[in-house]
Amino acid sequence: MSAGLRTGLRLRIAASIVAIVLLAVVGLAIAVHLLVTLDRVDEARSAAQARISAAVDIYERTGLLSFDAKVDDPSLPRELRAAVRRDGSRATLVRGGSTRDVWAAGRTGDTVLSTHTRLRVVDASVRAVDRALVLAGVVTLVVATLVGFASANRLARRLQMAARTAREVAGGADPRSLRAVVGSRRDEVGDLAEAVDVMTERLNERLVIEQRFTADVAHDLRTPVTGLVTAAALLDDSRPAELVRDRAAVLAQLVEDLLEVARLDRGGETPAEEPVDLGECVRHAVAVGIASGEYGEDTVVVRTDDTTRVLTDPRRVERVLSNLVRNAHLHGAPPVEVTQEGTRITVRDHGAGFDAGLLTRGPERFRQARPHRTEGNGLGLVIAAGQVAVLGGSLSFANDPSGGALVSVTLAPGPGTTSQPGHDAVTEP
Amino acid sequence: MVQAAPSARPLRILFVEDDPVIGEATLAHLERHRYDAVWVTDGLEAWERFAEPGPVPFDVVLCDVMLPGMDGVTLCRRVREVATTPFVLVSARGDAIDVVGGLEAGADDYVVKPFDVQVLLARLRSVVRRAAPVPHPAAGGAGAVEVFGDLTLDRSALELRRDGRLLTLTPTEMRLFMELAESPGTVLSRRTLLSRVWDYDEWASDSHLVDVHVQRLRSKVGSAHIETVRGFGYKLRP
Repeated sequence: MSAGLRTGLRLRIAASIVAIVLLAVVGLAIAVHLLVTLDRVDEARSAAQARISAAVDIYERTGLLSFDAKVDDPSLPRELRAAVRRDGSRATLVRGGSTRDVWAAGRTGDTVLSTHTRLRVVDASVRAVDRALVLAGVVTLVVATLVGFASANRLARRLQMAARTAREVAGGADPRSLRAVVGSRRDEVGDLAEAVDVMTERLNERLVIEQRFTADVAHDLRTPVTGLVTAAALLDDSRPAELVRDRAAVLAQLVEDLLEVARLDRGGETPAEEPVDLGECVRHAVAVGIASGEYGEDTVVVRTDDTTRVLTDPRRVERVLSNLVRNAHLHGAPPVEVTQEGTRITVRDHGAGFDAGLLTRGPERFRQARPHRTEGNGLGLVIAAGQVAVLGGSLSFANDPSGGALVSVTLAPGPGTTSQPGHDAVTEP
Repeated sequence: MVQAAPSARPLRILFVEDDPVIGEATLAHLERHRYDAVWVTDGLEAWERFAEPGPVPFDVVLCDVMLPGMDGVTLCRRVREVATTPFVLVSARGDAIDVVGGLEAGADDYVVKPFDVQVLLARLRSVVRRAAPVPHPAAGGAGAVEVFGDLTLDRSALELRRDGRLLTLTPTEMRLFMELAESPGTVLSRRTLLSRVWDYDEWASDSHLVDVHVQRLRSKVGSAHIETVRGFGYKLRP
């Protein structure tokens, strides 16, 4: 679509301008050419008329033939002979194509005098006129093409810049005014930009309201949920009590996740950076999950290089990893491989992999990243992506060629990053 | 389950919480674990109960941050002005700013709502234990003191003096100093301090607690004594 806009609009406008100019130039040239030749033929006809009048006068008075006039020329066209049947009448006839036969005839008594000349319609002077016309036409065409391309280009470029900005904003960049991007000119493009700006502003306002609503709801849920969790902990150890406790815990986790998403949405989160042994940080994050019973010791394989120190916020890194590893267990299949190499950490499982929607659009709240599983609230990947953004790193989702979902986290290699390769160690928690 | 009070006398706890359900359920838990609990729902009332004439009537305070009358952070500051009673805050918000504010006011620990009751009880046990004197084998009995520049530590009396003047440390600050004094010159990581002073399990990774308490300790003992080793932790200058 974008490629279509890039070439399509520009080409179409320029081609229309060229076509119109070409049509006008050719039409004009043909008209001028025709007028010039008609003028020549008319001139030849009046000259012949004048000559035959003079020749008839001289013949009447002296009986002599002049001006190459012939008496009763047998090759005289019949219709001309018929036209001068009346005494004293004169007539002319022009016939032929590129070379015209110009006949003139006059009658005196029984004698028909006639002249016959040949006229080449297109002679050197007409060709000179034609050449001038072609030259002027070509120059006009070239100038029109250039001007057409230039103005189409400017239009297309402004639209293109507006489109690029809109895409950047859609992709998560800070909202910018399209009006500022397309320039201050008051035209249709400016109108469009202003309309889009207003739309963005309205959508943004609604988004902020929705975010605030989510945060408020989650915040207000916290107190009753705490009461529920605390009260449920008082119940005996029966199966129904266990179910209530379990669901209360899930509810509490959901509220916490919602609050975290709301905080990340609101922005303004700053990482508390410190020099971190990334390998240790990764092992710790996985060990916490094992210690809290979220997943078993034998379902996670951790590989770290133990040589990378990076300036980052270890708690956020651990939040990212715990969400990714939990997600891999909930929606994928063990073994889950967590690999850290330099500033890049990958989490890979051996399940069915991500669906196409996630791979193209990224994580969306309350949308399962993989089909056919219902456990989990779908916020894990959203939180992971949000925290990675706060850390200034990048997160990418893929499916491993040999099966399973693959998430890669790359932390920004800050000034504190050091790494001595060659000491690779494989550690399993 | 775990005994809340090593002595025969149950621990007296002031419990401040305005939500009726959380209050009632938590009270039930506290009573199950043999705490002698007083539950109030208002910050001002809590302060009145705490500041009653006579010796401090409570061994530990468990207090919500958002309260009618007087908020938990202010209550904590008021309590700190008169006593070193262990103080645990319950924060409805996990936001760092809330937590740090509470710790700076002198709270020994905090739990974030919604909390796991077992975690809450563990935190209470830990702050109470800190307030009890620990016999230290290296101290060589009563009267033996350790000297660090202008500081003198008497472990058996739980006393720290600076230039002979007794410093008022909360139990947590005292324990923190004693841990650092255990191995002067050695860097102790935040995680190590969390597990040794606060009894957090080895998987906890909350550095606010350690950082804020080290700051408070520093302001009392003199900032030159405790050195920050960025990215690792803290050490006591021998």
